[in-house]
Amino acid sequence: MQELNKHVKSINHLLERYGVRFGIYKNGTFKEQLFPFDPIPRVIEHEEWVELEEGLIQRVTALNMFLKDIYGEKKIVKDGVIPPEFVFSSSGYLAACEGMVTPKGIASHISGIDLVKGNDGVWYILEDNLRIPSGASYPLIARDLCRTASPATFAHTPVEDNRDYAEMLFETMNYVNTGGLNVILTPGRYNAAFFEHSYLAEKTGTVLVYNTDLIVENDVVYLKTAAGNQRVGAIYRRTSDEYLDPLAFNPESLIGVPGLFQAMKKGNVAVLNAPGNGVADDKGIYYFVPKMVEYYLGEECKTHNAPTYLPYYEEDRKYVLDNFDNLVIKDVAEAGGYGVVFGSTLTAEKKADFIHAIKTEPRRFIAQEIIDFQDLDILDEDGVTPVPRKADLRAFVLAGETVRVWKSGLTRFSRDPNSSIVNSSQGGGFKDTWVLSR
Amino acid sequence: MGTVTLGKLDNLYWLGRYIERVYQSIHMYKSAYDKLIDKDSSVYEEECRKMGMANTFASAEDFAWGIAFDTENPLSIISNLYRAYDNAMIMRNEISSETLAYIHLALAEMKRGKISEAPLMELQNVEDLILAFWGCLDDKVDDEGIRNTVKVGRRIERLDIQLRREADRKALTREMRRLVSRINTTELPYNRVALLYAAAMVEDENAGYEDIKKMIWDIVPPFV
Amino acid sequence: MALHFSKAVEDQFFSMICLPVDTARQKVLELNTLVQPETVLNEDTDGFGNRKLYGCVREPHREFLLRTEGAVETGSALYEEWQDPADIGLVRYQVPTDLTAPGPVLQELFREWAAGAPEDPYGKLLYYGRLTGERIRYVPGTTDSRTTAEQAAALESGVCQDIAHVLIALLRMAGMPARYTVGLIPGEGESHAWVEANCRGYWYGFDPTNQLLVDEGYIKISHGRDYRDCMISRGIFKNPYALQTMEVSVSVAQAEE
Repeated sequence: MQELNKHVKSINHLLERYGVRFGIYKNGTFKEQLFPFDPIPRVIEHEEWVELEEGLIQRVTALNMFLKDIYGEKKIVKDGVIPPEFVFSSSGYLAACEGMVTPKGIASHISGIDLVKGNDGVWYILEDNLRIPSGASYPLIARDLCRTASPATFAHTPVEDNRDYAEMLFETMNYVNTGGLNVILTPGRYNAAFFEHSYLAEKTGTVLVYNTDLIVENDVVYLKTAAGNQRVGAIYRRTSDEYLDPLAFNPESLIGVPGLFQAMKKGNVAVLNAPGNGVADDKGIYYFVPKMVEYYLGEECKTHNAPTYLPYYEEDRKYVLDNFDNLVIKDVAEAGGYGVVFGSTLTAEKKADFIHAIKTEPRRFIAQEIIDFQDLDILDEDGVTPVPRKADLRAFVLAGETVRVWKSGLTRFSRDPNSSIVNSSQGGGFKDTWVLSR
Repeated sequence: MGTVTLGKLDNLYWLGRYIERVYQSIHMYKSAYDKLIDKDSSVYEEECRKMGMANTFASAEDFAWGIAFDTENPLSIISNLYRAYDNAMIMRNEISSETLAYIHLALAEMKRGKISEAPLMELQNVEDLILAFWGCLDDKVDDEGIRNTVKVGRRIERLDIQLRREADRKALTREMRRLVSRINTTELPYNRVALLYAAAMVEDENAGYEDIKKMIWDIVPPFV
Repeated sequence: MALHFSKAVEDQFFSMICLPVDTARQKVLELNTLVQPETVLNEDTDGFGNRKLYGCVREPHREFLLRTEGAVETGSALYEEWQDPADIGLVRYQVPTDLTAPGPVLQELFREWAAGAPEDPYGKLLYYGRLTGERIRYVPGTTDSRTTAEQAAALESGVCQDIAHVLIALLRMAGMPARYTVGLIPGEGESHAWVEANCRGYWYGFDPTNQLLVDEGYIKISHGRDYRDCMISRGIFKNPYALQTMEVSVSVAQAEE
């Protein structure tokens, strides 16, 4: 593992060669940045992974059953397991999807589950991302480059090859495809994850398309090509729900495909992931995931949520107000590391505002115990000295014919020693994730 | 040609044009730079005129740097390379990551040249990388339509530059023949009537260069 | 309904919720729909049970016309279908939406009025409906389609859409399921909006703008959580330079016996 450190220079050269970037908006202008890569991998032992894998498969299976139930019979709500307010007031709940049946009954095909490893050795789930989780392409290309820069490292370490991600994604698309081409729909060149969209399109051999390349006729989606219109059977879309179809959702969307939603509703095309998934990865619904697992699968939940409190419940509200300084408070409507505050860091005035907001709109917030999570070493700017930083792991779970976990993941770290927010939009970097095969 | 969308044909064509523009500009730059070393400052005024650019440079040094590396100047070599990059990065799927990588590398090299004391070295590397780009395109891209579209862009750009620089009829004729044979291998909706006229005009001493240029622009329609 | 474009447009996709539905209160006897330029009209039901017409006009045009004529029989009941108050689907109409979420003005209004409110849900609908109609004056031009209930309450003015939103917000604060309703009323003019509230299982309509109970003169087209669920027309077209103006004209008359 140490061997890789010696090859930082060649690895950086290769990252430059392949343009491993992400886009960011700063003061209103679009910029592309290299996504800082740290050569020290996160290593997960074989036994540890097997246990984690089981839990993730169980979790995503239950989440998919939940989505099917919520837009259908709503048994889980009728049986009193989840209060209906949490479902219907979630901004991710889309009334338009009521009664919709997705191809093969799968709604979350690609799920990104964010975890951290506590100092107690337990992996805690931070959040589920069931809409358009991104990031798989970075460890994928990084592995390729690291193997080029230092073949010896991989000859001597039993690391699971992670370069099968494209194949897994392709199989997932094929499984739900309703007959026709597989395409990846990107919102465009100025999207933060454009690199990823184009890279995955190339690796899966699918067509990368913009909204204007697609046209819907009589509830069937076609790709306009130089050789005429060709039917589309599966769309891996990287456009958010709101902008997907101006006829069904935000009528002002210019990056949508008009008529796509009806085509999907008629079962003429599979959309990965299905719209409406936001209801299941809502920060408020997160609290109920272990209950979902028990409800749908009749099993004990194998993944661990961070201890979470819902101010919605009086008992929890009292606890949150009494222990405000020891908790992290999250606004359920915000994403990407925004809307997360640590109780102890607030000024007296801000704190009073927050407490007032919690009392008047309890449904809007969740509070969590601060997990003391393990630091990972990264190379300091000198490129030699290892320094500890906060890091998380995004595991990718693909649901097709079976539910599978990609034997790798995106490890993101904070470059700021005083911060535990790892998002790339806030300056974080990434590492490769090695799952040991024995 | 398979599943290439119409919007992408435009990008492929312009990718070819910009890459060729960079390549040709470097060629011309190198010979002009050589003359500038001996302080023959009239050279740059002439160069400005040929490039259709206002002479707003304070000195020959200013000119030498600006024309190659000034990102604020839309006609500079680096600006044209950025435009090639803009068209290429959305074509990863069509041209492959390996081919695209040569443009990433060329850009990185240009950025190094920007702060270099002897920028001809970096420019030489950019030239090599562009040749590697063409080689890689031939090697990695199976779809003939894609390759042809980029190459038609290259040919048209070269003709355009030759016309602007008032090359002799012989050179033009040679270049024109290459364009004709390139276009004849594709089934894409080019304006073949304009192609025929342009080919005839090149060999006709009475046809003016400006008119030929206009006819050549008509050959490639906007695809969308 | 007509859409006028300042310049010719093509690939115009449209989706319209503009046809009356069969309910306990009304029965659609006859319906003829005409679309110009001529194109295929597809029909589907949206997430609230409303009828949706959609389609596309490909060739360039400057006018789009959708004309519906028909006969609807009303008066068979004063209320809509019974819906079990325990039905969890009702919660959809109890939680705030972007357009109806209360802010300080609505919260203050609610505190002021709640003290005098009757216990009975039907009584509550009439009580809040009457007060809302009195407080929020009907003044066209003071608000637009994005105005929230909170903003309209602060202005104390608006059109039927805003007045309905304010009443919905108040009823939801009072714990009642309330929904936004679009339809037609007798005479010549535009479409109208009012409110339905679930009172012990029965959906009753009240028109706060005119301070009237919804009676046999009202023909219902759609309902939803707020205006956005019931937009009559949604669409998109190709030509960035064209401006669209929409004209809705409605004529309702009582048929001769």
